[in-house]
Amino acid sequence: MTETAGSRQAHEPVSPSPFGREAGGEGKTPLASSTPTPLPEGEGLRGRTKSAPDGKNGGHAIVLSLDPRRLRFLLAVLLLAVLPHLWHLHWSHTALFLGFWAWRRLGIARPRLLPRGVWLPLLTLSAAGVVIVTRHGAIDLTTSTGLFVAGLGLKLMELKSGRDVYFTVLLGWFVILTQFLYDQSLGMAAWALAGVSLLTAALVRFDAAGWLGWRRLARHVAILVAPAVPVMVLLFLFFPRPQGGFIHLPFGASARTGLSEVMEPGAVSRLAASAEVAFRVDFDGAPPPPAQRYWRAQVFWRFDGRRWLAHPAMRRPAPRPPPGGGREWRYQVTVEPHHRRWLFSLGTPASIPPEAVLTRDGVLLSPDPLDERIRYALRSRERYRFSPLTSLERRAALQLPAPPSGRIQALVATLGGGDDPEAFAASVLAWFRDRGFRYTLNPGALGGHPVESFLFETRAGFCEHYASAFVYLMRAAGIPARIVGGYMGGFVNPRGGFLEVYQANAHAWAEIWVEGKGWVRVDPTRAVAPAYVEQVQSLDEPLTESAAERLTRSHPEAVRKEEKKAGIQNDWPRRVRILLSAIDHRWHLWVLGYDRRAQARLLGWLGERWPGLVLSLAGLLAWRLRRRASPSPDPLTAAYDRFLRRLGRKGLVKAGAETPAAFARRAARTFPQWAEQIDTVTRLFLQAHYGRGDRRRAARALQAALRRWRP
Amino acid sequence: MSVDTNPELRPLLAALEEVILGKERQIRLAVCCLLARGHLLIEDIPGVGKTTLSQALAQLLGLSHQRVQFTSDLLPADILGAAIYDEQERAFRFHPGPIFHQVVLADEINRASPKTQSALLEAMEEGRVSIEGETHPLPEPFFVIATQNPFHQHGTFPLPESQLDRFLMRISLGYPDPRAERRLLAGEGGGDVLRGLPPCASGGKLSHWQEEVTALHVSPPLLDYVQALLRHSREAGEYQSGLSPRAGLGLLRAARAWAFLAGRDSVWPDDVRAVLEAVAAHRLGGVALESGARRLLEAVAVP
Repeated sequence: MTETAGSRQAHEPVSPSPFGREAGGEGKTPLASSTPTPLPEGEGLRGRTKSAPDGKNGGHAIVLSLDPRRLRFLLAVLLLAVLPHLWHLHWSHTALFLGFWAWRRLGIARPRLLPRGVWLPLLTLSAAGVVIVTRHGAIDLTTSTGLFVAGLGLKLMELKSGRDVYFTVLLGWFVILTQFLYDQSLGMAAWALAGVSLLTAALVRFDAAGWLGWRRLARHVAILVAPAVPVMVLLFLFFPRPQGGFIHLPFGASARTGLSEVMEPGAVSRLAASAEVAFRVDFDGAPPPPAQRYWRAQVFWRFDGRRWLAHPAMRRPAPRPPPGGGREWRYQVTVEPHHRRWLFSLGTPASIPPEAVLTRDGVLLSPDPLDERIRYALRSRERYRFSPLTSLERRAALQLPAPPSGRIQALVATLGGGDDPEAFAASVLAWFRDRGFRYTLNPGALGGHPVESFLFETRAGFCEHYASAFVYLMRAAGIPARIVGGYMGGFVNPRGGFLEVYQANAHAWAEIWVEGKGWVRVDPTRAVAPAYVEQVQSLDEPLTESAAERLTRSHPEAVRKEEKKAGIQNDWPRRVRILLSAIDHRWHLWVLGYDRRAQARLLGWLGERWPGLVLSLAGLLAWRLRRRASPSPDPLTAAYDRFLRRLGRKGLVKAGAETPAAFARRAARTFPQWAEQIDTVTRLFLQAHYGRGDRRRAARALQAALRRWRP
Repeated sequence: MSVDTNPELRPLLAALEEVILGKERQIRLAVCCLLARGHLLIEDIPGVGKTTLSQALAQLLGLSHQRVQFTSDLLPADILGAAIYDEQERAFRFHPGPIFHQVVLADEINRASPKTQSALLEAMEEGRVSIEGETHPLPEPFFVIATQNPFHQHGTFPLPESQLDRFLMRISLGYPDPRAERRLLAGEGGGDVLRGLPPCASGGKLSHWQEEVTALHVSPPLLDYVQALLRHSREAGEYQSGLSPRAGLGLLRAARAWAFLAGRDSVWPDDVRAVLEAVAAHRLGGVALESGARRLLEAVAVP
């Protein structure tokens, strides 16, 4: 198989490249270069070239009209490309575009309707006016994108020649690009990829001589788009990334749900039904047990009788985290933008990521509001050795808006007083449990003294009420205490292996100061509704209100049984949601999370290894060139060779000098059970290879036969 | 897959097999040679059916037939014919020789002198006879079957290589196998059977077949194969002489005819392989002729 193998290929019919016949034509207009011969009927850009009066070459005037069928395709594709902006832009801007679009669409059948002459500049000016007026003159992202989209609509008004088509497609590509300014999700990327491909398809359709079917169209588009992929990857990896991303996007600060700066009744409960992801955590190793999943974000010190507030002095940065002991967890947190500064840590953090500062009360703060997704690595320990309370801290942790009333003092006394903080905390929790306190997301309004009316009258509330009342009682008993806000629990995504924490996991609990131990976490809600807390800690979606109510009353075991009976753990929408969430997380991690530092890491890594990389790249290139020098196997012989390899694996090898027919006879004798398939394959090959059969078709038939036959 | 037979030729082959017992392959090759418009050299000892084969071919195809026994004193004119002065017409008149038949059996061609041999072979090659400035075309179709005794016999003039090249094929019939010989001895086959057989086709039909053979499709990969065979015969250094371009053309023609016999409309490498020994062995030279051709087949890959 030496010299003959090569010469066999020399007779292969060379399939013309999709644009082969359009090569050349330099010095002509784009139209002339794309169609060198008189145009057949149905040409994309119908028209003819007239010599200009001066008769000079290159001075062609073009008389054109666009093929309606192709134009309809282009318009449909443009509509798809602009569609996502419906959610991003001012409604009037999209309305402008849609109006122009519809106008042009009508104009296909009735060209007289299209504006011309002085109407075009008039329309342009008024459209620009509308855009600017609706934005009150503000020149920002929305305005500029609005102008751009309206401009694309206007361009459609004068869509007359091939050049206009090229320009419109170019604008369409840009419109798709602008959508990434608003949305960088995976879905948007998929939509953009589809949009770019379809616009390219429109371009190909206009440039092709005949009307291309979908299959050929897809092939041409793939040929055009595929070479862009490596360029895209290289640009993605190496294009310099400015600090803080390309553009600071003007998001409305209240656009999303999340914790609020101040804790007052209702601040957390309004999140209870939100399925939005707050943040995700990837653990190096196993995640901590559910009971340990308390995510600190805020510490509240000051109580004004109704609301809990942070303490400005405690917000000052701490030089280093307290020394820790016990188990250590290493993890990376990916926080969804919440437009506030706090970051989340499992308990008190044992390290400070470079993106954040650690406050004196042990929470992490970002220097800027989180308008973009952020990811940071962190460590946490099981225990810490806190330095003794300063007098300021002690004062802040004992602060009360007014001296406790007699009723409160009597209660504190009945529960044993504050000499032993932990014993007192235990008796308060027991009191909650025994005195008919219940957990509900819809407590009635509280009276003038919210804590007292909760403790002695309504006895119904949720985590904020319990944390608030608990800390109040602690302080009344002289035990330093503070409220911690954040999230509790998290659902381990079985597809991604990461922990997902939803807004519905928002929670408030308490920390009390125990001499010799430091700050100790106490969750009073757990004492009241253990089943509820346990569920929330490992739940993958917010509970319905009725489920929450049920959970607050039942024992955890009973709930789990009930849940199994209902088959909650097996329904497919939940599975789809889990899968999508996992994909989304990876997308954020690997694509959007590739920031300046990740790039610097990659460049550093490359810097150490570049000689080896250059060498292997050169080797790859040389190999490619050598491969190109030898003719690529034609599909027919390639398919037949596959057949030979398949039999070869079964121990039957065709000798070089053996003819296919002779080999087939031998093979059929050896494997009588496959005689039919062997005969079919050989016949197909022989008829096309030595006969007049069509090689391509035979190759396809042969491939199909091989697919059907799995020895 | 290639043992099929063109239905048009089935009666002819069947009839031939009735006459020459147990020699299907040689019969096929002889018919193939005829279809390819080539001439056939049969190298064999006397008495194995050479004459009967040529007679059978002529009769079954409805062709005129003449046998010429070559002897050492045979002159060219004895074969070609001569211009003889006609007293009445006062002019030389051409008297055609035995070569002016559609099937000519040149028996024991190596007994004649080289001069006579070359006269026959020239006429074969050119398809006409030129005597005294006059050209007389040979009949159509024209098929020469020459027989030759093995070289070791005395008093022979072996055909030189250049003359051997004029024969498209060289075959030998060989002894019949025991079963065929038994049938032969039992009175089957042979000239007696032949006399009772009607013609299966006509000269016109044969010409038509020959046309079809010429039109048979030959694909580029097959040409690659033929070229590879030719190249190997020249470059391998195993053979006295490599195959000439004429041999290449002959090989292709014979392969076409073989494919036609098999009832196909395109030539496969199997066809080339089937005829290679008959076409190439006598041109490759050397002692072990047949094994030389076989070696060639084993050495060249099929594309």
